[in-house]
Amino acid sequence: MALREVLKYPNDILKQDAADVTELTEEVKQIIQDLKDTMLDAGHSTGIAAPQIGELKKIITIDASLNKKCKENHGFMVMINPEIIEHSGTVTSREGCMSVPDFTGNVTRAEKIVVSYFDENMQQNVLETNGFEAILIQHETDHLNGMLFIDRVISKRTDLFRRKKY
Amino acid sequence: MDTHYYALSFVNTDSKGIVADTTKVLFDNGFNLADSSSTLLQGVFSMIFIITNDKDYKEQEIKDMFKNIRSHMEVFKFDKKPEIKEGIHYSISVYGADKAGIVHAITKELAKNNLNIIDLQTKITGGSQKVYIMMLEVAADNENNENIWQEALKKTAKEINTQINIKKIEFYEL
Repeated sequence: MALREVLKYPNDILKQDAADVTELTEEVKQIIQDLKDTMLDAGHSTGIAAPQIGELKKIITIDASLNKKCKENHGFMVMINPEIIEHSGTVTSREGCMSVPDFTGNVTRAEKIVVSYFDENMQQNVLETNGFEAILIQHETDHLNGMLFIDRVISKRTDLFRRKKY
Repeated sequence: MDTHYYALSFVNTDSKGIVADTTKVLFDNGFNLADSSSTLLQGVFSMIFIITNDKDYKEQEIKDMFKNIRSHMEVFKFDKKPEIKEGIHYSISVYGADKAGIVHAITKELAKNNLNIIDLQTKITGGSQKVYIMMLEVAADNENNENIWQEALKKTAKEINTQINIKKIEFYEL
Protein backbone atom coordinates (compact mmCIF):
# COMPACT_ATOMS: atom_id res chain seq x y z
CA MET A 1 0.00 0.00 0.00
CA ALA A 2 1.36 3.38 -0.98
CA LEU A 3 -0.39 6.61 -0.27
CA ARG A 4 0.58 9.41 -2.60
CA GLU A 5 0.28 13.14 -2.20
CA VAL A 6 -2.72 14.54 -4.08
CA LEU A 7 -1.48 17.47 -6.16
CA LYS A 8 -3.40 20.68 -5.85
CA TYR A 9 -3.90 23.45 -8.37
CA PRO A 10 -1.85 25.56 -9.30
CA ASN A 11 0.53 22.60 -9.69
CA ASP A 12 1.33 22.64 -13.40
CA ILE A 13 1.06 18.84 -13.81
CA LEU A 14 -2.71 19.13 -13.39
CA LYS A 15 -2.91 21.23 -16.56
CA GLN A 16 -0.93 18.85 -18.78
CA ASP A 17 -2.11 16.06 -21.09
CA ALA A 18 -1.49 12.52 -19.86
CA ALA A 19 0.06 9.89 -22.17
CA ASP A 20 -1.64 6.71 -23.39
CA VAL A 21 -0.68 3.51 -21.59
CA THR A 22 0.61 0.98 -24.13
CA GLU A 23 1.46 -2.00 -21.94
CA LEU A 24 0.82 -3.27 -18.44
CA THR A 25 4.23 -2.71 -16.89
CA GLU A 26 5.11 -3.03 -13.21
CA GLU A 27 5.13 0.77 -13.07
CA VAL A 28 1.55 0.92 -14.40
CA LYS A 29 0.44 -1.75 -11.89
CA GLN A 30 2.00 0.26 -9.07
CA ILE A 31 0.27 3.45 -10.21
CA ILE A 32 -3.07 1.61 -10.22
CA GLN A 33 -2.47 0.37 -6.67
CA ASP A 34 -1.39 3.83 -5.50
CA LEU A 35 -4.47 5.42 -7.07
CA LYS A 36 -6.74 2.96 -5.30
CA ASP A 37 -4.99 3.40 -1.94
CA THR A 38 -4.92 7.19 -2.19
CA MET A 39 -8.56 7.41 -3.29
CA LEU A 40 -9.80 5.23 -0.43
CA ASP A 41 -7.59 6.94 2.13
CA ALA A 42 -9.15 10.31 1.27
CA GLY A 43 -12.41 9.03 2.77
CA HIS A 44 -14.73 11.33 0.84
CA SER A 45 -13.38 10.68 -2.66
CA THR A 46 -15.16 8.56 -5.27
CA GLY A 47 -12.51 8.72 -7.98
CA ILE A 48 -8.97 9.79 -8.81
CA ALA A 49 -6.89 10.27 -11.94
CA ALA A 50 -3.18 9.52 -12.32
CA PRO A 51 -2.15 13.17 -12.92
CA GLN A 52 -3.55 13.99 -9.48
CA ILE A 53 -0.72 11.93 -7.96
CA GLY A 54 1.82 13.33 -10.40
CA GLU A 55 1.71 10.53 -13.00
CA LEU A 56 0.98 11.76 -16.52
CA LYS A 57 -0.56 8.49 -17.66
CA LYS A 58 -4.13 7.85 -18.78
CA ILE A 59 -5.35 5.88 -15.80
CA ILE A 60 -8.30 6.55 -13.50
CA THR A 61 -9.84 4.60 -10.66
CA ILE A 62 -13.45 5.14 -9.64
CA ASP A 63 -15.95 3.71 -7.20
CA ALA A 64 -19.41 5.24 -7.57
CA SER A 65 -20.71 2.98 -4.77
CA LEU A 66 -18.83 5.21 -2.29
CA ASN A 67 -21.54 7.82 -2.93
CA LYS A 68 -24.39 6.49 -0.78
CA LYS A 69 -26.98 8.22 -2.97
CA CYS A 70 -25.76 6.41 -6.09
CA LYS A 71 -27.92 3.28 -6.22
CA GLU A 72 -26.97 1.95 -9.64
CA ASN A 73 -23.25 1.63 -10.29
CA HIS A 74 -20.49 -0.76 -11.27
CA GLY A 75 -18.47 -0.47 -8.05
CA PHE A 76 -14.70 -0.16 -8.10
CA MET A 77 -13.22 0.12 -11.58
CA VAL A 78 -9.84 0.78 -13.11
CA MET A 79 -9.98 2.51 -16.48
CA ILE A 80 -6.88 2.75 -18.64
CA ASN A 81 -6.98 5.04 -21.70
CA PRO A 82 -10.68 5.83 -21.16
CA GLU A 83 -12.43 7.54 -24.02
CA ILE A 84 -15.99 8.78 -24.04
CA ILE A 85 -17.33 7.64 -27.38
CA GLU A 86 -20.99 8.59 -27.00
CA HIS A 87 -22.89 10.97 -24.80
CA SER A 88 -26.43 12.25 -24.48
CA GLY A 89 -28.54 14.51 -22.27
CA THR A 90 -27.28 17.09 -19.82
CA VAL A 91 -27.28 17.30 -16.05
CA THR A 92 -25.92 20.00 -13.77
CA SER A 93 -24.45 19.23 -10.38
CA ARG A 94 -22.06 20.89 -7.97
CA GLU A 95 -18.65 19.26 -8.04
CA GLY A 96 -15.81 19.24 -5.58
CA CYS A 97 -12.31 17.94 -6.31
CA MET A 98 -9.36 16.98 -4.12
CA SER A 99 -7.08 18.97 -6.44
CA VAL A 100 -9.15 22.16 -6.10
CA PRO A 101 -9.93 21.98 -2.38
CA ASP A 102 -11.04 25.57 -1.81
CA PHE A 103 -13.89 25.70 -4.31
CA THR A 104 -16.92 23.84 -5.56
CA GLY A 105 -18.62 24.56 -8.87
CA ASN A 106 -21.76 23.98 -10.88
CA VAL A 107 -20.83 21.92 -13.92
CA THR A 108 -23.08 20.71 -16.73
CA ARG A 109 -22.12 17.31 -18.11
CA ALA A 110 -23.64 14.55 -20.22
CA GLU A 111 -26.28 12.57 -18.34
CA LYS A 112 -25.51 9.34 -20.14
CA ILE A 113 -22.22 8.18 -21.63
CA VAL A 114 -20.60 5.24 -23.37
CA VAL A 115 -16.94 4.90 -22.47
CA SER A 116 -14.35 2.60 -23.99
CA TYR A 117 -11.37 1.68 -21.82
CA PHE A 118 -8.87 -1.01 -20.92
CA ASP A 119 -9.24 -2.66 -17.53
CA GLU A 120 -6.43 -3.51 -15.09
CA ASN A 121 -5.61 -6.60 -17.21
CA MET A 122 -5.44 -4.48 -20.40
CA GLN A 123 -8.65 -6.07 -21.66
CA GLN A 124 -10.70 -3.69 -23.78
CA ASN A 125 -14.19 -2.93 -22.49
CA VAL A 126 -17.11 -0.68 -23.26
CA LEU A 127 -19.35 0.61 -20.49
CA GLU A 128 -22.66 2.40 -20.76
CA THR A 129 -23.64 4.32 -17.67
CA ASN A 130 -25.60 7.32 -16.49
CA GLY A 131 -26.23 9.58 -13.53
CA PHE A 132 -23.57 10.01 -10.90
CA GLU A 133 -21.26 7.34 -12.32
CA ALA A 134 -21.30 9.07 -15.72
CA ILE A 135 -20.48 12.43 -14.09
CA LEU A 136 -17.67 10.79 -12.12
CA ILE A 137 -16.08 9.25 -15.23
CA GLN A 138 -16.32 12.56 -17.13
CA HIS A 139 -14.74 14.44 -14.20
CA GLU A 140 -11.84 11.97 -13.92
CA THR A 141 -11.19 11.68 -17.67
CA ASP A 142 -11.04 15.48 -17.80
CA HIS A 143 -7.99 15.23 -15.51
CA LEU A 144 -6.25 13.16 -18.22
CA ASN A 145 -6.62 16.09 -20.61
CA GLY A 146 -5.45 18.78 -18.20
CA MET A 147 -9.01 19.91 -17.51
CA LEU A 148 -10.32 20.80 -14.06
CA PHE A 149 -13.95 21.39 -13.17
CA ILE A 150 -13.21 25.11 -12.92
CA ASP A 151 -12.49 25.05 -16.67
CA ARG A 152 -16.07 23.90 -17.24
CA VAL A 153 -17.80 26.43 -15.00
CA ILE A 154 -19.82 28.69 -17.27
CA SER A 155 -20.29 31.70 -15.04
CA LYS A 156 -17.63 32.43 -12.46
CA ARG A 157 -20.14 34.70 -10.72
CA THR A 158 -22.98 32.25 -10.27
CA ASP A 159 -21.35 28.84 -10.63
CA LEU A 160 -18.16 28.95 -8.58
CA PHE A 161 -18.35 28.73 -4.80
CA ARG A 162 -15.84 29.02 -2.02
CA ARG A 163 -15.92 25.73 -0.17
CA LYS A 164 -17.41 25.87 3.30
CA LYS A 165 -15.30 23.08 4.74
CA TYR A 166 -13.16 20.25 3.51
CA MET B 1 -1.57 39.18 14.05
CA ASP B 2 -5.32 39.80 13.68
CA THR B 3 -6.96 39.93 10.29
CA HIS B 4 -9.54 42.67 9.90
CA TYR B 5 -12.44 42.32 7.46
CA TYR B 6 -14.13 45.15 5.57
CA ALA B 7 -16.87 45.28 2.93
CA LEU B 8 -16.64 47.98 0.26
CA SER B 9 -19.38 48.83 -2.20
CA PHE B 10 -19.09 51.08 -5.24
CA VAL B 11 -21.81 52.26 -7.60
CA ASN B 12 -21.18 54.37 -10.66
CA THR B 13 -22.26 54.99 -14.22
CA ASP B 14 -18.90 56.06 -15.66
CA SER B 15 -17.28 52.66 -15.40
CA LYS B 16 -14.32 52.70 -17.80
CA GLY B 17 -11.18 51.92 -15.78
CA ILE B 18 -13.02 51.88 -12.46
CA VAL B 19 -11.95 48.33 -11.51
CA ALA B 20 -8.30 49.03 -12.32
CA ASP B 21 -8.37 52.33 -10.40
CA THR B 22 -10.14 50.83 -7.38
CA THR B 23 -7.96 47.74 -7.10
CA LYS B 24 -4.83 49.91 -7.42
CA VAL B 25 -5.86 51.72 -4.24
CA LEU B 26 -6.45 48.35 -2.54
CA PHE B 27 -3.10 47.00 -3.72
CA ASP B 28 -1.17 50.16 -2.78
CA ASN B 29 -2.61 50.03 0.74
CA GLY B 30 -1.84 46.36 1.33
CA PHE B 31 -5.38 45.01 1.20
CA ASN B 32 -6.14 41.43 0.17
CA LEU B 33 -9.21 40.82 -1.94
CA ALA B 34 -11.01 37.95 -0.21
CA ASP B 35 -14.14 37.97 -2.34
CA SER B 36 -15.77 40.21 -4.89
CA SER B 37 -18.75 40.55 -7.16
CA SER B 38 -19.16 43.19 -9.85
CA THR B 39 -21.85 43.55 -12.45
CA LEU B 40 -23.55 46.01 -14.75
CA LEU B 41 -27.17 46.59 -13.73
CA GLN B 42 -29.14 48.66 -16.27
CA GLY B 43 -26.00 50.66 -17.14
CA VAL B 44 -24.97 51.09 -13.50
CA PHE B 45 -21.74 49.34 -12.62
CA SER B 46 -21.73 48.04 -9.05
CA MET B 47 -18.89 46.38 -7.21
CA ILE B 48 -18.74 44.75 -3.80
CA PHE B 49 -15.40 43.73 -2.32
CA ILE B 50 -14.68 41.83 0.87
CA ILE B 51 -11.15 42.87 1.77
CA THR B 52 -8.75 42.05 4.57
CA ASN B 53 -5.82 43.81 6.17
CA ASP B 54 -3.67 43.23 9.23
CA LYS B 55 -4.09 46.91 10.05
CA ASP B 56 -7.12 48.02 12.02
CA TYR B 57 -8.57 50.91 9.99
CA LYS B 58 -11.56 53.07 10.80
CA GLU B 59 -14.26 53.12 8.12
CA GLN B 60 -13.58 56.80 7.35
CA GLU B 61 -9.84 56.12 6.90
CA ILE B 62 -10.65 53.60 4.16
CA LYS B 63 -13.16 55.97 2.57
CA ASP B 64 -10.47 58.65 2.40
CA MET B 65 -8.18 56.31 0.44
CA PHE B 66 -10.74 56.31 -2.38
CA LYS B 67 -11.42 60.06 -2.48
CA ASN B 68 -10.07 60.30 -6.04
CA ILE B 69 -12.24 57.43 -7.34
CA ARG B 70 -15.32 58.79 -9.12
CA SER B 71 -17.91 56.54 -7.56
CA HIS B 72 -20.49 56.42 -4.80
CA MET B 73 -18.86 54.35 -2.10
CA GLU B 74 -19.66 52.80 1.28
CA VAL B 75 -17.45 50.99 3.79
CA PHE B 76 -18.54 48.49 6.39
CA LYS B 77 -16.17 47.12 8.99
CA PHE B 78 -16.82 43.66 10.46
CA ASP B 79 -16.28 42.97 14.16
CA LYS B 80 -15.23 39.41 13.32
CA LYS B 81 -14.65 37.19 10.29
CA PRO B 82 -17.92 36.95 8.34
CA GLU B 83 -19.31 33.41 8.48
CA ILE B 84 -20.48 31.32 5.57
CA LYS B 85 -23.73 29.50 6.31
CA GLU B 86 -23.69 25.74 5.99
CA GLY B 87 -26.73 23.86 4.80
CA ILE B 88 -28.57 22.18 1.96
CA HIS B 89 -28.73 24.33 -1.16
CA TYR B 90 -31.64 24.68 -3.58
CA SER B 91 -31.94 26.60 -6.82
CA ILE B 92 -35.26 28.32 -7.42
CA SER B 93 -36.50 30.06 -10.53
CA VAL B 94 -39.68 32.11 -10.64
CA TYR B 95 -41.11 33.74 -13.74
CA GLY B 96 -44.28 35.34 -14.96
CA ALA B 97 -45.83 38.45 -16.45
CA ASP B 98 -44.08 41.48 -15.00
CA LYS B 99 -45.86 43.06 -12.06
CA ALA B 100 -44.94 44.65 -8.75
CA GLY B 101 -44.42 42.47 -5.68
CA ILE B 102 -43.01 39.22 -7.11
CA VAL B 103 -39.68 39.44 -5.27
CA HIS B 104 -41.33 40.48 -2.02
CA ALA B 105 -43.93 37.71 -2.11
CA ILE B 106 -41.38 34.97 -2.72
CA THR B 107 -38.68 36.23 -0.37
CA LYS B 108 -41.23 36.80 2.42
CA GLU B 109 -42.18 33.11 2.19
CA LEU B 110 -38.50 32.12 2.21
CA ALA B 111 -37.87 34.22 5.32
CA LYS B 112 -40.91 32.74 7.04
CA ASN B 113 -39.40 29.28 6.52
CA ASN B 114 -35.92 30.27 7.75
CA LEU B 115 -34.26 29.87 4.35
CA ASN B 116 -31.18 31.95 3.65
CA ILE B 117 -30.78 33.57 0.25
CA ILE B 118 -27.27 32.89 -1.09
CA ASP B 119 -27.76 34.53 -4.48
CA LEU B 120 -30.60 36.41 -6.13
CA GLN B 121 -30.79 37.78 -9.65
CA THR B 122 -33.71 39.29 -11.50
CA LYS B 123 -34.24 40.14 -15.14
CA ILE B 124 -37.04 41.62 -17.18
CA THR B 125 -37.31 40.52 -20.78
CA GLY B 126 -38.03 43.17 -23.41
CA GLY B 127 -40.86 43.22 -25.92
CA SER B 128 -44.48 44.25 -25.58
CA GLN B 129 -45.31 41.50 -23.05
CA LYS B 130 -42.68 41.91 -20.35
CA VAL B 131 -41.72 38.78 -18.43
CA TYR B 132 -40.09 38.96 -15.02
CA ILE B 133 -37.55 36.25 -14.20
CA MET B 134 -36.03 35.71 -10.77
CA MET B 135 -33.33 33.16 -10.03
CA LEU B 136 -32.30 32.35 -6.49
CA GLU B 137 -30.08 30.01 -4.61
CA VAL B 138 -31.17 29.39 -1.04
CA ALA B 139 -29.77 27.39 1.86
CA ALA B 140 -31.81 25.45 4.39
CA ASP B 141 -30.39 24.15 7.68
CA ASN B 142 -31.47 20.62 6.75
CA GLU B 143 -33.84 18.65 4.52
CA ASN B 144 -36.40 18.00 7.27
CA ASN B 145 -39.12 20.43 6.22
CA GLU B 146 -38.38 20.62 2.52
CA ASN B 147 -41.81 19.38 1.43
CA ILE B 148 -43.58 21.86 3.70
CA TRP B 149 -41.70 24.97 2.57
CA GLN B 150 -41.68 23.90 -1.07
CA GLU B 151 -45.45 23.46 -1.08
CA ALA B 152 -45.89 26.83 0.65
CA LEU B 153 -43.64 28.48 -1.93
CA LYS B 154 -45.53 26.87 -4.82
CA LYS B 155 -48.81 28.12 -3.33
CA THR B 156 -47.40 31.65 -3.05
CA ALA B 157 -46.12 31.52 -6.63
CA LYS B 158 -49.56 30.42 -7.85
CA GLU B 159 -51.26 33.25 -5.93
CA ILE B 160 -49.17 35.83 -7.76
CA ASN B 161 -49.68 34.00 -11.05
CA THR B 162 -46.06 32.96 -11.61
CA GLN B 163 -44.36 29.68 -12.45
CA ILE B 164 -41.83 28.26 -9.99
CA ASN B 165 -39.18 25.55 -10.22
CA ILE B 166 -37.34 24.30 -7.16
CA LYS B 167 -34.39 21.96 -7.47
CA LYS B 168 -32.07 20.60 -4.81
CA ILE B 169 -28.44 21.15 -5.77
CA GLU B 170 -26.67 17.81 -5.65
CA PHE B 171 -23.10 18.06 -4.39
CA TYR B 172 -20.62 15.45 -5.56
CA GLU B 173 -17.18 14.87 -4.09
CA LEU B 174 -15.22 13.50 -7.03
